[in-house]
Amino acid sequence: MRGLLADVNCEGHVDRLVRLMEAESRREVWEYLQLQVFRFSGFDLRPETPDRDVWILCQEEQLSLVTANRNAREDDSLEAAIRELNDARCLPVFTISNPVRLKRNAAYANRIADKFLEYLFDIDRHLGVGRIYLS
Amino acid sequence: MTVATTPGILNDRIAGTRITVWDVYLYLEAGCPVGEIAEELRISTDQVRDAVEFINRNREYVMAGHQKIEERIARGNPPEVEAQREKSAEKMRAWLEARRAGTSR
Repeated sequence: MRGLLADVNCEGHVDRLVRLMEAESRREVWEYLQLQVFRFSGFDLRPETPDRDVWILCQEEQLSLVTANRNAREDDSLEAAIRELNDARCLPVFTISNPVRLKRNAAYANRIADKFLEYLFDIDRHLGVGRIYLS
Repeated sequence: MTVATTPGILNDRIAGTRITVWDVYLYLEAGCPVGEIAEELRISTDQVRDAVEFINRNREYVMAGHQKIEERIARGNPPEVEAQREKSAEKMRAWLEARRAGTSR
């Protein structure tokens, strides 16, 4: 795994989580992982790029997408892309369940950062899962 | 359910973005002002207003979708995923202890 790709509308949330993972209590693990954090602009992705294309790029580039996207449409969702394309070698997508709470509740944000780091530390164990909710 | 079209909203997304009306609704529900929503989602205040108009015109549809999303989130990860995370957490703790004892792998 090379790193993380922050969904275009999730960059602030990913920045928040990375800051928490860089904090003293987690820094040792975060630095050991040597993960790079990318933005859409780093791959010349347009803000309206479809979920399916983003998911494929992530697998090609060995990145896990971090998103907070909420979509109730079955036919036009990240869920549909995962259902169609995911296999046992694929990196999971991390979904921030409640971005508002992440911003407003420090205890919740710290709990999310702890869990996120646990997944990232041992990512091979979580290949093929499809989507992991951070909540 | 019939969905009333609103300028700036296409297939439940703010046109030209990956942001859905349900992304915006979450912030509205939490009482966030338009400016804060725009800043968080990195879109313009006009785009937020387009989404708000869509939500107001299609409240039943948006609420049904919101409820569906919330139900999915409430189910959380499957137990096997959480069990694997626990194993990862144990592995990480062991790695940290070994490293701090000067015997890192």
